[in-house]
Amino acid sequence: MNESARSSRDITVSGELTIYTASEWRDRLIGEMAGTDDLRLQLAEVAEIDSAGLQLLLAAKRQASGEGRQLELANPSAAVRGLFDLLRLDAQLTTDALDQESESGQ
Amino acid sequence: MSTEHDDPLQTFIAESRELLLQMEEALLDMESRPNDPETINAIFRAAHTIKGSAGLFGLDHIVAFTHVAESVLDRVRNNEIALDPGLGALLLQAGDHLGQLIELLAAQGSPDATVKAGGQALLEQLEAYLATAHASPATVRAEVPAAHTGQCTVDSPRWHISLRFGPDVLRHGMDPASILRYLATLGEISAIRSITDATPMLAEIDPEACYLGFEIAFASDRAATDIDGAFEFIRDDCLIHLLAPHAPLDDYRRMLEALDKDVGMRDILLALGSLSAAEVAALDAEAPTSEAAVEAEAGGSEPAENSAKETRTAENSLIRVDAGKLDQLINLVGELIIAGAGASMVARNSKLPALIEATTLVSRLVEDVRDSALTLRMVQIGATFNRFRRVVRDVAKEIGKDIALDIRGGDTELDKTVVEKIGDPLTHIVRNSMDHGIEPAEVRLARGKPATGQLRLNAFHESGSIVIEVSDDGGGLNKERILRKAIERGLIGESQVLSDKEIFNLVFEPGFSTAEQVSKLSGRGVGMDVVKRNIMALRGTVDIESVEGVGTTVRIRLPLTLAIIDGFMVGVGNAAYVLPLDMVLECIELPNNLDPRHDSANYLNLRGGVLPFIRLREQFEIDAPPPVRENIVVVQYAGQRAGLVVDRLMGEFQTVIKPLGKVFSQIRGIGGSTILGSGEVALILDIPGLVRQVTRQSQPAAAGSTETCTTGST
Repeated sequence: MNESARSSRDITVSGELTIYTASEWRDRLIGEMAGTDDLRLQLAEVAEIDSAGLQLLLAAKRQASGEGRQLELANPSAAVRGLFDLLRLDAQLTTDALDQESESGQ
Repeated sequence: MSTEHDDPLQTFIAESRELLLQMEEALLDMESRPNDPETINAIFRAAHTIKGSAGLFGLDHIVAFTHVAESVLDRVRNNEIALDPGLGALLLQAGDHLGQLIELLAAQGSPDATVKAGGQALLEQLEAYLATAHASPATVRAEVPAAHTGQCTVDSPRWHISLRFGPDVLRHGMDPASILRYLATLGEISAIRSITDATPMLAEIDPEACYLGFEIAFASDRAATDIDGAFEFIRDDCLIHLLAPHAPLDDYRRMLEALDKDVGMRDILLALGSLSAAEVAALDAEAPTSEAAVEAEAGGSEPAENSAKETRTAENSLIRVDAGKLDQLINLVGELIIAGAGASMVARNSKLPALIEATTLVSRLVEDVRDSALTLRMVQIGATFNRFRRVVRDVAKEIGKDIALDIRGGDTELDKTVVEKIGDPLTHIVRNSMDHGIEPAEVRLARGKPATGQLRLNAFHESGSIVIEVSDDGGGLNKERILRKAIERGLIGESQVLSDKEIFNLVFEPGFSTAEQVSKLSGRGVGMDVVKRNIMALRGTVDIESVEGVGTTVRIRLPLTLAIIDGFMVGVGNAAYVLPLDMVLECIELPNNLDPRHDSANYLNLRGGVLPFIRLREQFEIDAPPPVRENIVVVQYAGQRAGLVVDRLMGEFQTVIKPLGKVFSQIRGIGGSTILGSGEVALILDIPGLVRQVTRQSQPAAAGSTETCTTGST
């Protein structure tokens, strides 16, 4: 938690996060994630998300942890929450985050 | 059906027809090789694809019917029921019914009461095979392996569903999330674990590929087919394991083997509650003991899946093209050839070496283009032959004879239009062989032949034609009877002497068919004369070889293509004629020392053999005086040689065949016309006709016919 208390930069993801926009979002996220700071993906304005969108979020998280940075998924919108609930991913994602924290803490 | 559906619908109809053919073929294969997993898979896939596509078009009656057939096939595939001859016959009928539904769709009709009743009857019979499955799919699944391995089953009362989505799922418009949402309507997802290990880093991700997988514990009391149905459209792309409640532990073991890339699967199964700790332990403990069994089963199914995948990729590399477009292309190539010939001629006349060289190169390329354009239309005859396996099987049952079909040369290629048009005549010849050629078993045994009759379809290439043979080892044709019938019907004079070949070919004369033939083949409305006419319309010929008591061979010769040929041009007087180069054997100078006493002699000694010949000057009544030296072109057709006497040999020439109008259809010796580079017209010689005429002329028995031929042609 100390680490995420460090200044995290917000990246806002909004609108459609689906197969139709996946390529676009990928490029945008790569651009916006450039740097070494910790990140927070603000998901409150995601109107629509599908498996392709979900994969992008997972890939972003993986990218961040590969670079030794934190990436938090914050304020999921109803659409995002619906998908996470269906796949019971919430637990898995937060667990991952915790795992990494405890790993990096050790 | 809305109009915007029409085009894809045509594709659906065409594909379904093909799939039904494949299914029928596979079912017939099953009769000789039961329990071949690959064949069962092929049948299943065909039914499955038809159902899937029919669903897209909202053709509910087809979906409903296919669904039942598919479910039965699925049980066969899972070794729950055996595909015995009874079920095989039933599935063949089901395929026929589907074909009927598809044809109705093609004719924009809807099934009437008879069709519906037929379908209903089939459904009831098919459902009998499903009855046990509906009662308790799990126990059936569990019992079968348990019976022979003595394995225990797992405690979990829930389904375990393991999904690994293929990379293309998203691109195919499927969303794993929606599939899970649909699954959730069939029961309760009690626990789920998303397998996201395969997801790469953002920088490396293909945003349109799918990397997801799920392990699901699923509580539902729906039938296995319903749950299975949730994965309907992704089955081909994905790795799916559907384990019923209380499934045998072996099934889990097999699943783990298939998923061996995924680490921690055991923990996941444990966490989801699909396996208990004891069961996970048992999984590892017992693995070595039953490895052989697992191996054997895995060995049985995996390669089959692989090869199925391979055929699929092979299919994917094919494109469906409108036949009209191909025709247009070939027409254009034809025009190109004519234009090219014109250019070459201008170049030759100009005597500019560079120009001649350039046009030569162009003509060579045009020739290549022509060849590849023509091969586009070529299809293997195998598909047509394979249709006869069903015909032979059904007719043999119907007439109570035991007949084996032997197919050879199925990879011989010929023009698609020819293939399409040869089906009916072939069917008739095959039926004839089965009805009249092959004797009943007791007669065969009495004659010292094996009880099973042999029917053979064979195809091969021979000097520019394709030869299709239908042979049987039956009773052969009775010459005496044919002669008697022919005389009775006034087809020949009583004193006429005919060769064997001529006698046999009498059966192709209109009005020849005997009373018994009419009764047996009634309803088909075609006789052998129609067969002959159909083949002649394709510029082909048909003849019969038969030895009484031993068998009959009907031999059909067809031109390889109907549009363009490599021609050989000759000149007589001012006129140019083209003959197919494939049929030219050699060219020699006409010896001018022919015995003057046999001035009209129409044969010469060619290296010790007799070569009958014909003077085209006389044949076509050309007045121009003959040159000092004349040439003979030796041609061969159907094993017969003949010489054509011409003034000049003008060399090879690519020829686009233009049909002659109906007015000229009576002219003997001419098969078509073509346009030369200069814009002049050259006539294409009908070599089969001329060879026949020449050989008949040289036979003393029919010597009088020369006159009638020539006068008839004027």
